[in-house]
Amino acid sequence: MSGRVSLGEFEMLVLAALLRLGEDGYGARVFREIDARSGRRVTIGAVYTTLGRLEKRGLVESWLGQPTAIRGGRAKRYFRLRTSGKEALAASARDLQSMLAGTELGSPT
Amino acid sequence: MKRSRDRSTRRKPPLGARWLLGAIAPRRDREAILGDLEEEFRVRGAAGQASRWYWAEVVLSAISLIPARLLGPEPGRDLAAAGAGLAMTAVWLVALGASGMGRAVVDAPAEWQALLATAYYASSSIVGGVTAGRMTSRPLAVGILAGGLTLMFLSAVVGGRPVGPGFALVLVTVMIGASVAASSRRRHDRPPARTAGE
Repeated sequence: MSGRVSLGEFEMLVLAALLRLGEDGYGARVFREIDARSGRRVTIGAVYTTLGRLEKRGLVESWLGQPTAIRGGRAKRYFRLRTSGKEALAASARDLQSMLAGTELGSPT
Repeated sequence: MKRSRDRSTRRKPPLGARWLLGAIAPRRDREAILGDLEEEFRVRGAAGQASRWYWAEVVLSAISLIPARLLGPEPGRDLAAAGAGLAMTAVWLVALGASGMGRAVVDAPAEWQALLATAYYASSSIVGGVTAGRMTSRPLAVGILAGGLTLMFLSAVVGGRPVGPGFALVLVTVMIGASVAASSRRRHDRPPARTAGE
């Protein structure tokens, strides 16, 4: 269990959004994905702050794309999960499921 | 229909909100964040509604972005830039004092005062900008322009020495040109290569 990466709730949401988006994960898409699926009001600032933190921890990687007209000629910064990010997300999800198992909120086994 | 789509593509988010966001966003992600919000702004229908949303987004994002910026690697560079700008001010004051030109500057014609003030402001901003590695930043470029215009305004209104319209026009044109040149460069990088197993 040593070396386990612990994730906060919002970090899990951001990583899960990136997992869903695959190669098309950038700030606005992550923002919309979380809003659409969780109904949570998130800000672009919170998304980028979290992505920056996850990148520093080696869980995601990023690169700049090409500028586009709809963005006022500005480039997108794409993000994608690294293997370590997928493992951290999977471990956190397992922990949560394990904690809820057998309770009224746990999935029936 | 086509016309309304064109109009929505041309529509820009509120200038003040863009400036505020540009000032607080981390340097590395500034362009991406501004682009993401502009994209979202255009997706959101009516002009007034989208503008209100944009302002709210900027103000609420500040709650996350400002602490991240203060705790990140940038405060050192920002402080260094401010320090370099202040040092440049000290250099100017010492140079004027040592050369005995302080009185001469006070008595000089308004055109010379405006030119000197703009040179001072531009040199301080450029030295500060180079120190922060931000010579291509739009805020810095427009800051030079705004500073020059402010000093000309103060010279005219407070000092009671308006510069001639021809001189002012040349000065403003040069400053706008410098601002556009300074803000026109952009850098891009490439996607990282996939490592085995990813």
